[in-house]
Amino acid sequence: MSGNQLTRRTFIKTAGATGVSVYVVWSGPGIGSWFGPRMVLAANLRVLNATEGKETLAMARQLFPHDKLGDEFYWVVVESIDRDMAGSPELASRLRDGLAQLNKAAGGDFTAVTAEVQLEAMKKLEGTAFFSDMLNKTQFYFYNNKAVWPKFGYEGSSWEKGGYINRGFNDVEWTQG
Amino acid sequence: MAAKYELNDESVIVVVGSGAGGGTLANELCQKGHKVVCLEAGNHLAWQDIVNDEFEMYGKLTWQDPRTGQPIWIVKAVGGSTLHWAGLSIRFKEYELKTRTTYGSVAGANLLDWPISLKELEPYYEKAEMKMGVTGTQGIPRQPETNAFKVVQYCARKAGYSFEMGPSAINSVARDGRPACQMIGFCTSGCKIGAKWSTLYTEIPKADATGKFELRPNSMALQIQHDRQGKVTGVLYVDKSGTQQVQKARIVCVAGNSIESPRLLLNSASSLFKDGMANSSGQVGRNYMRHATQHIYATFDQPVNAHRGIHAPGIMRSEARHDPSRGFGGGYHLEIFDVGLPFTALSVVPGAWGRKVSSLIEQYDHMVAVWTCGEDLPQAEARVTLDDSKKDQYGLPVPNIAPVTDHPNDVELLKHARQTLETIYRAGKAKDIVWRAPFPNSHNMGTLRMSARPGDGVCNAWGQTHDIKNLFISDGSQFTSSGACNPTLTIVALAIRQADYIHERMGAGAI
Repeated sequence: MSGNQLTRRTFIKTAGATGVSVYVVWSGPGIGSWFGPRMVLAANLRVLNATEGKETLAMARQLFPHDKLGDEFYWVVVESIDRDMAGSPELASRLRDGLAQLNKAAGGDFTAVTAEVQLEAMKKLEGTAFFSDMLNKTQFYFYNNKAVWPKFGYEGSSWEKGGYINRGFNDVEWTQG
Repeated sequence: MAAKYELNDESVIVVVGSGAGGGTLANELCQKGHKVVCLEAGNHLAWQDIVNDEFEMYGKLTWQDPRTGQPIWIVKAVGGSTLHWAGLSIRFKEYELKTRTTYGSVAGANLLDWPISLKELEPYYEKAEMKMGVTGTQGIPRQPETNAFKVVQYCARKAGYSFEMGPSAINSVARDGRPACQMIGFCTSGCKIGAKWSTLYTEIPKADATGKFELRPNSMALQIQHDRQGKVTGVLYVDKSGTQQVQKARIVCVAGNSIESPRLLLNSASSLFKDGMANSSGQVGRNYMRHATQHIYATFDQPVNAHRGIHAPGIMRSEARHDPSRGFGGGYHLEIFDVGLPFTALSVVPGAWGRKVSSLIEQYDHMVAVWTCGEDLPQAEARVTLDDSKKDQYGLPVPNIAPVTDHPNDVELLKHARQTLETIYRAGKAKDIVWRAPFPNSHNMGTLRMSARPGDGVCNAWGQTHDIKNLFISDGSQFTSSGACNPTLTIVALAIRQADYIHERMGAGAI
């Protein structure tokens, strides 16, 4: 059975002696729907409650902080993680338990404390399965969002525009000197 | 006009795999009038399947069958790893073919000379370069300089080094029915326009056009069968409907990449070949090599936009030499290699998080990266074995790639390469220099190596196994050493040479 015959979105993690991690995503039907900014998503959550959604968002922001990007880009991560949880009761309970631990580590409410306290709380949970799940999923869902790419100067698919042969593949000029 | 052969047709040559080795060999044999059945485990992708999206293509191309041990990335699709490769095409040097003679006896390394000289290989390198359209060779023009190249070359020049564009099997001009590169920037996700050489749209359709070729995609080879005398008679495989079939064969050529090829021979063990097929030497699966690699990024105050254009635009050759005064044997190429934001973001600092990582990613369009392709010394214990504790979807034991640590020579080589590159980056006033862990191995070599003496390796100078005359190794598994060269060009040259040999031997009635 080859990858593109699968119909659901799945992660496979291969980690070896070198500590390299690679993630593979298979794109099933409708994958396009999770790209793009989302403004009000808490109502769309299936597993996480609104409070847990906000906690997940706050943690995602601390994992990969980009001050210039609004919460809507991080809500995409929350919604995607929530969808994964809906497909896996085991994952759902691990992440919900983890969020409870995170609140505890932050003295009660992770979303109500300063960034410094949040970071301290997260460091306490580093190495747990919860933490690595959140790290890996946030990293993937955040940076593989096409709406995020232009914020970092990445222009995505180019063949339909004729590539860059006439659009700046060699437009660097500061290397003249 | 694809051919259609009967399963019991004993006159066909079966080629397992359709990548650089298998695809090329199949076409070359068909051009000479031979009947070829190619069993390819993966899908036959169409143009519309190729998109400019790193993760979507990763899902479509990646070999996902289970295995254990070191992380590896190989392709499962018609065209094999020629869909993913970046196009760099560098010839081995004479000393790289004669490592045992040149480096002497190195502790912990299972060095051996190739049974071929560079002089014997040169005519085939020429043919391969012509076939693939390698820029900067055979009168083929180089590509225009890209942003990433200009920035790295600027740094190198300041430090007294120099890079060159190519040599690359990506069309710089329309050639062989394929267009010139449009600088699309997704080379390693399958070239959308076919400017990069891949057997998917060169060798395979050319073989088809002869009327002698039958490609069977989604067909996983499980076992090579033999008669009582030990001669190979056919291949047991699972066809696209999931049914087991046996294709009879006059000759079997194995080209499944250096993990799956030895696995197939090991899984073909029988009462006659107890340790696996063609394994009287005990070398099947051993001497696995992958190149000594590292990927080092640098960021700059000024924009780079390295994603615009060829992923691997050029190389630096001056450290690809044997100079023991540097503290190690063999050498390395520095190769400019940039990927898109999704891959960069997920790999720039593996496992790390926080502002350190995100601030680097915010410099994505101000960043270049250079990869080291250094010689990896063969170690007998670096090997592919069967992991009997784990079965794949066909019920066969999965391959295990022993997680061997880098040979000390590799460690010294990488240290030197890192210092060289840091000198280069600093001379160009780079801001941050970031060393990341290697990619999963995608250059896989040596698990069925060539040897002059049958006791030292699995096949002879033509890839013919020492033990079985009508069984050939036709991929990078043949490599006796890794050199500092991306393997594809040499795999193609060897495949062309092997086709000549098979043709000649068949004509002489010797196979």
